[in-house]
Amino acid sequence: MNQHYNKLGFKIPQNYFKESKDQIINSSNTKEKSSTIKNILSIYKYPIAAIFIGSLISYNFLNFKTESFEYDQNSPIIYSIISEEDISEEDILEYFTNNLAINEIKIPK
Amino acid sequence: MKEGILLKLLKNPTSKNKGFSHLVDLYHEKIYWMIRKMVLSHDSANDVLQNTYIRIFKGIENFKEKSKLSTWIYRIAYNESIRFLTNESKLKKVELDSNDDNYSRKLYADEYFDAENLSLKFHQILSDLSLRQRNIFNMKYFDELKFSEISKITDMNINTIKSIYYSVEKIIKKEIDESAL
Repeated sequence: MNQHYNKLGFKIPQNYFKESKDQIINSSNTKEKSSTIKNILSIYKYPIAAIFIGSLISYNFLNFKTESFEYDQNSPIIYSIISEEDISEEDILEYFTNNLAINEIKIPK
Repeated sequence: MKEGILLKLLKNPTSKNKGFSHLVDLYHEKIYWMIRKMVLSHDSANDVLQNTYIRIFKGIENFKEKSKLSTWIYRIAYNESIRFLTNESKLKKVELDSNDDNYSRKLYADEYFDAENLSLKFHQILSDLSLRQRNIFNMKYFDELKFSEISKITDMNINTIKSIYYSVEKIIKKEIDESAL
């Protein structure tokens, strides 16, 4: 820059350069902090996602395993599979009759 | 501080802020005046200056060092100013080869313009130039940049720039000589 600037008649507010410098440097520091957090997140996002998905799968798998072994051994169908014995229609009818919630059937007055 | 050292600071994440502070110290006034001469009003120059710093801060990692750091910075400031003028004129692209009809209006509307002490003749001559001519003249005459730097900043052929500058210089000398008579 040279002294020719004086010919242009441009003015600036008092202490403009000092104040604007400080403002710009401060805002860059704030941005840098937030971008550091973003950087950390961007580095660890895949391991975090993998851990989350892994825990979700293992949780569901364990639940599936325990649920799959919980069956009603009195059920004639399951009993017939386990014991390899034939079952009659009467057995099935009796099983379902015993398991019916008779109290829930509303009889109109 | 040497440019190489400054670049090392800027490209290292742990010292980026320190480097940026040095960069602002070194170039703040130069960038401001370059922008101010293009956009004319102080408030507009301040807005463009902030956008320029945002682009510098975000883009420093991608700086390929094909030019000097200062040239790269001026180029960003130049492009930001052109972008601002384009938005201001609500045109798709600002016409660099046409002169700015609002030149005087913008100057006088700005509260940070001293109409008392300026060379009115000088501004009158500048207002008659096209935006391209004015930018090149300003960069060479006021900012004292080399033709090669102006070429990189404006993305124009160096010989075209020289030709524009010397023709503008001739116009100004002629105008001043005539007004002195």
